[in-house]
Amino acid sequence: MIWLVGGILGVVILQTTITPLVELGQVRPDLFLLLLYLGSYKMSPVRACLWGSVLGLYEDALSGAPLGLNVFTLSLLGYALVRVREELEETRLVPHVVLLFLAGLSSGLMTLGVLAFFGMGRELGESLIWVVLPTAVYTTAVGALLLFGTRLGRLVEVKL
Amino acid sequence: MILRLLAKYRRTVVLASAVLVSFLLMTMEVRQEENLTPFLKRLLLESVSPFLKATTYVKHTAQEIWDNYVDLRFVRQENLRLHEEIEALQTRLRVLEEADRENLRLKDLLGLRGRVSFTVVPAGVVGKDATNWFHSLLIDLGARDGMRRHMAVIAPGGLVGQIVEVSRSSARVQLITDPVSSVGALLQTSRVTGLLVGARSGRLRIRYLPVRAEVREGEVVITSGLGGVYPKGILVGKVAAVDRRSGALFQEAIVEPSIDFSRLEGVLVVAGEGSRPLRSQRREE
Repeated sequence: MIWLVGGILGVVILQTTITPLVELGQVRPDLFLLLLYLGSYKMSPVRACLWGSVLGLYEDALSGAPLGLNVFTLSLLGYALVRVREELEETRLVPHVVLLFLAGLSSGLMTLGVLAFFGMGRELGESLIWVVLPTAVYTTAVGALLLFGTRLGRLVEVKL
Repeated sequence: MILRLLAKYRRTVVLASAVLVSFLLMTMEVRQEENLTPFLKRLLLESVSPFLKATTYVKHTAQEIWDNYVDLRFVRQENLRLHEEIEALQTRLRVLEEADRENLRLKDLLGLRGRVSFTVVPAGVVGKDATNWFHSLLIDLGARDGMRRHMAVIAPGGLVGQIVEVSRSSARVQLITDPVSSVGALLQTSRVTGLLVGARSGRLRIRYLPVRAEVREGEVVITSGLGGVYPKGILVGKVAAVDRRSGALFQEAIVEPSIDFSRLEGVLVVAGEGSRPLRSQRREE
């Protein structure tokens, strides 16, 4: 429980106050998605879905998004990520990085779809170029670094 | 029986509930009929607001210490340069004061209303939008400080946006670069008005400019005062390009904002027109 609350608080602070400092072309990594991905390593699909909903609530509250937008995307992604990851080998890094990129891409496309459904549609081409793709790439890059760092740490621990 | 079914299809039930709840929340928010979504947003914002303020305070303090150290190294050179600049500005000020006096005198002669002044309240920026889809800021003033929705927000460099959500101790400001923001704009030289909207690239776009208007690159854009949210005459930016399409009913202009929104640390909330203090206005309401 403490881990969950700490995770939410940490990601809220990092996303709203620290990531603007590392903004590239008005794009920042989606740390909420990253936390969902990392958290889902130790969760069942149901728990990941609920975890995604809570994270989504906070992301919506701290943005101009209508409440429920990120609840929808992150709860679905939380569920799907665990189901897909059950099929992946734990030791190989590349499939995990690819999965994270696909999760980022899906999150962007779902957001685009939901916004269009509720009459807040954005221009498809512009959104894909300026938001969906760059966010997915940036989030994946940060996630890959974290995953690589974690693996490296574990390797050093084993050697020692 | 029902419990057994629920247990059997637990995954599907949880997933379907999450989807259903999210759609319900979004419908409520979009329809703006219910009070539940604003209340929930305020509650969530309020739960993290103290932590955001504390982090921003630490960040600013560290930045200040570093800046002070850097400033100290160049203080003598800077002092000399500033003295020269003050002298030049004083000369310019005297010319402008004279022009201002003449302006007032001519306005009096023509019977025009005097310039509108407004009170501003300084606020600190404690956070930025959590997603890349929307452009907004969180400020450290809320309902208890007299903040209300649709209050205009400016900075020394120009227009910032308007308050769209208010919790007890913080508020969210929608930036003019937000894709759903719209501001009545006036081109200072050609005197034509249009609708300023946000664009994804960080620039702004003025729509519905008369096709025959002679809009030039570099022309200054200010608020038109139409719409009632933003006072007239606040600097917005400069025209960077003009988009004239053959056969179109209107022309559009791309505007470079006068403010670098990524570097904003403090803003000024326009509390009301005139020189009345905020408290007395609130009492009247």
